[in-house]
Parts: sequence; structure tokens; C-alpha cells
Amino acid sequence: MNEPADGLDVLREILLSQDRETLRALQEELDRLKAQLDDPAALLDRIEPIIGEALARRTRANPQEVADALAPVMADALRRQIEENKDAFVAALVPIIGPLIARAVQEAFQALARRVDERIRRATSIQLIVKRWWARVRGIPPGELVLRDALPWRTIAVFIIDNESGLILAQSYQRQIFDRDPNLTAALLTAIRNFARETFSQFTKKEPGTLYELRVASYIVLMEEGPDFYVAWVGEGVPPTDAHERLQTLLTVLHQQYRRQLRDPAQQEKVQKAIESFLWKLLEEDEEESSQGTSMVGMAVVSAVLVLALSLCGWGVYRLSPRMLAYVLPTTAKHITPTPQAMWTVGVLQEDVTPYRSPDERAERLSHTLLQGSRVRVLDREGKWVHIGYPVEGPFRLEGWIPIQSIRIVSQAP
Amino acid sequence: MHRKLFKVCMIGDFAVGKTSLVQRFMYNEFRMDYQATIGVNISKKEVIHPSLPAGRITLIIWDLAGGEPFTPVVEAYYRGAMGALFVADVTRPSTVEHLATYIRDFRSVSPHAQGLILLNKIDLLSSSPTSVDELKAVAESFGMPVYLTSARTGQNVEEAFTALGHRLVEQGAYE
Ligand SMILES: Nc1nc2c(ncn2[C@@H]2O[C@H](COP(=O)(O)OP(=O)(O)OP(=O)(O)O)[C@@H](O)[C@H]2O)c(=O)[nH]1
Ligand SMILES: [Mg+2]
Repeated sequence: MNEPADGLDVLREILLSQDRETLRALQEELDRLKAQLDDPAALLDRIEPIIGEALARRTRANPQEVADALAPVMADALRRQIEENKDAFVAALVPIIGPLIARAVQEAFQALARRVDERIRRATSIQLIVKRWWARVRGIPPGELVLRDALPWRTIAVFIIDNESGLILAQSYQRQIFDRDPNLTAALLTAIRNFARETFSQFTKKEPGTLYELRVASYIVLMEEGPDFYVAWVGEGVPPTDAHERLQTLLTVLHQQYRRQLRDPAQQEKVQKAIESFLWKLLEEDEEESSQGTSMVGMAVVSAVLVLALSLCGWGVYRLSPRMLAYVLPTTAKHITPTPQAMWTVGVLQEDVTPYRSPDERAERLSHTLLQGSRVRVLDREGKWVHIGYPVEGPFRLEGWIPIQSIRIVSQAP
Repeated sequence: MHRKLFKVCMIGDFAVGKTSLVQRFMYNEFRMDYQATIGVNISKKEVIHPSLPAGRITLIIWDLAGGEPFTPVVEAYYRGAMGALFVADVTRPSTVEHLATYIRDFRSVSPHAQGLILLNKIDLLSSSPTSVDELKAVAESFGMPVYLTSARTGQNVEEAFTALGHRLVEQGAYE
């Protein structure tokens, strides 16, 4: 009996062992899945990639539908989450929206400062002048002055650009801010201006002398148009209240004196040099201004002019034009007084430099190195290169090209 | 002294290869995929040739979107240009015919500018030279020098820009 029983066992083993094995594997799989279902973290690990992909596909196909479906749930969840844990939310959001808020605040301040400027400019009665002057004398700056001091205007560059071709006719730099070649920047500015002007022509009526303003991050480009060319004034901060007038004055002078020469390639280079001294004037006045604070000289002038004005006019409610005011008050309002005599542009080296023979990194270099702090004469500029001569007074013992970032332009010398 | 900086425009129907020609000229590269230009692309490139004054001049190239109507914006883009490259696609004869309109509009804004016609994508027509001759005859009737170019192979691209440079300088001498 034993034998057949053994035989059956063997037979059963043969027939069922595979099934049993499968059953065992299935049971194991079932246990594993159950464990996963019971453990939310493990479950999440599994389905996250799949759901992510499915959602992404769905969102691409029909973004609005997904947004509609998710919005109520998300909003509710977010609200609850914020109520329960405000701090964590703030911590998570600040790095993302912080810079946006900062910029928004900065822009709001600039707008405010401008409104204040505008008000001051309009209300130029003697009383106000006295008030401001008195505030200065007593060392209590009125709020407006504080605002303006907090956000001063710093000129970075001035370009004279041909209205039509967008080519630079003259330029002047405080520092290099553009990655691109200035010629490209000028052409792009012109294209943008053309586009804006033609697109919004029904609003601007293409009036000559319209002031255009372009804002990129903290930089502002003010563009004022003359008949042949326009000025682009690049800076940071709050533009001076009389920016429009200053640019108009500059344009008038340039058009009157240099209109023809600027367009004539044979004269352009020579005229450019002369013009750049006007532009530098704009820059220089800015520099003085930021270092001036409440200067005694300024105050003395205010007092003297004020006394003179009052004695001439008597104590009436007189209104002074903004232009007159600019001469009276040592504010940011400054005027360009072109000096037609030839000027040199002088720069100070910011590092030790070995000049190149031509404006090209591959060009041969001179055998002498000029040391940091040396004063040099600026002869020309081409893109990111400056042509310099040493010593300033000439005759030059050394003449060559250096990268613009190695030099800081300081002033002119007669 | 000669002028050194020149504004030039790339003008012609959409997808004829204006941007590709500029890319080839600027960076010696070519892309098969098409990305329509929106508005205008501006780039700067020096043309270096021993016969030019100081060996080089600089072109500020305004690469305009093709196929746009002649609006005041386009007119403003043409204005002040000293030269233009009118581009057509040899595989689309209509683009050659359309040059007449582009040239007329451009001339109305910048009458003294120099112009060249580029019949582009010549690499695609290598099998049937006869049709090229016909297109070339049409292009020549517009009264400008005609170049057969390929932004893809680079054929005649450098030559065309250099030729424009020469014409600009020659004209500048009589300004
Ligand atoms: N085979 C060939 N293809 C070219 C050539 N030049 C341009 N293409 C192709 O033609 C298409 C259009 O080229 P683009 O240079 O963008 O044309 P475009 O004239 O600038 O077009 P818009 O900016 O829309 O006016 C692209 O897919 C290019 O790869 C060429 O010489 N040969
Ligand atoms: Mg294009």
C-alpha cells in the first residue's frame, strides 16, 4: 500500500507544486501590496511618478479644465494650511516673492517721489522757497528732500542717436552696463521707440519733443527727441524733475551748433569729441550733486539770491518758473552750460593694465604696463575698448587700447 | 574720412532665409528648423576686406520679419537704412516676384540706399539650373546685382555682404 501512496504523493507533487509555488508568490505579492496600501509613505512613493506624469499630460492637453478642477480644492487646502501654520508659509514664499515685493515697493516710491517733485515744481511760491530754505538752514530736511536724497538719480550713460538709422552719433559713459555693444543697444532702443511711437501714435500724436521713458529693472532710459537725433539718458533712481527741460536744452544746443557736422562722416569724429564734453557735463553735475549734501556754498548762494530776489520783488506772492528755481535752489535741478572749447577726457586706471595695439584681445600688447591709479587721456572708444594716451598732458610716451572696465572716466582737463 | 557704421535691412517674404543668411554671415552656422522673426532682430558685424577703408566697416543689420504689410512701423524700420539685402527663395518663384513691392516700398523711404538681391536656398535647386536662370532674369529686371546664395552651404553669403559693404563705402565717398 505504501508504494501506491508514495506514488500518489509524487504525482500530486508533480501536478501541484507549480501551482503552490505560484500561490505562494501571489500571497507574498498580496502581502506586500497590502503593506504598501497601509503605509501612506510607501504608497505615495509608488504612485507619485505616475500621477505626476498623468497630470502633466492632462494639464498640457487642457490646462483650463485642470485649473478649474483643482482650484476649489487647492484654495481650501491652502487656506486651512495657512491658518494652521502661517510661519512656514511665509518662510517658503519670501525667497520667491521677496524680490518682487522689493521692486514693487521701489517703484511705488519712485512714483511717489515723482509726484512730490511735480507738486514742488508746480507750487513754487516764495513761501515754499522760504520754507525749504528755512528747513535746510535749520538742518531739518523736508520729507520731500529726504525722499529725493534716498533715491538720487545717477547717470550711467548718455547717447545721441540718429532718429532714423539708430546709429550712435556721440556717447558718453559713466560705466559699462550693457552686455551688448552700445551700437546694438542704440539700434534696439530705436526699434522699440519706432514701434511704440507708431503703435500708440493716436495717443502721442507724434509730437516732437515727446519724452519717452523705458524702464528695465532699476534702470531708466529717458529719451527726448529732436528733429534729427534723440538723446537717450540712462540712469538709476528718480529722474530729476527737470529732466525733460534739460534734455531739450541739450538737444537745442546740439541741433543749433552741430546738426550738419554730426551727419557728415568727415566731421563726425571731431565733433563727437566736442559734444561729449556737453554730455560729460551732465554726468559731472550728477557726481557733484551726490557728494554735495547741504553744502555751505549752496546755502550761501541761496541766501544771497533769495535776499536779492526778495528785495527786487518785494514781499508779494511771486511765482518763479522752474527754470529760475533751478538757479535759485541747490536741488537736483541743474542746467547744462555748454563750454565749446576743446576738452580732454581723463580717466584713472582701476587696475594695472598692459595696453593692446588695437581694440582686439588677440592683438599684440605694448611692452609697458600702466599701474593702477595712473591718469591717462581718453582718445577714443570702440565698443568695449578705450583708446588711451599717457601721460595726460602729452606728448604721449604710450598709446594703446584697454578694456573699458579697466578705466574710470573722471573729468576733463582744458 | 569715411563713414564706418552702416544700417542695413534684410527684406523679403517669410521663410526665404533672411535670418539664416545673417546667422551664416555672423556665426558661420545654419539651422534647419524655422523660427519666424517677430518684429526685428538686430545684429552687428564687421566686414573685413583689405580694399575697405581701414580694412573694415561695421554693419548694423536689421533683420525684419517677412511678409508683413507695409505699415508705419515697417516704414520706420526702413528709415535711415543705407543698404538692403532683398531676399527671395528660389524654390518659391512668387517670393522673387514679390521683391518688386518690397523694393518699391523701401525706395519710397530710403531712396539713396544701396541694394542687392539674394536668390537664396540655391542648394535645393542644383538639379535644374534652367529654372534658376529664369528667376535670375526676373530678379535682374529690378536693376540690382543678383547673388545666388545658400545659407545652408554658405555659398556666396560672405561675398554678398562684402559686396554690399563695398557699395556702401563707394557711395559714402560721394555723399
Ligand atoms: N535648404 C535651405 N534651407 C534654408 C536656407 N536658408 C534658410 N533655409 C531654411 O528656411 C527656413 C526659413 O529660414 P529663416 O532664415 O528663418 O527665414 P526668414 O526669411 O528669416 O523668415 P521670417 O523671419 O519669417 O521672415 C528655415 O527652416 C531654414 O532652415 C538655404 O539656403 N537652404
Ligand atoms: Mg527671420
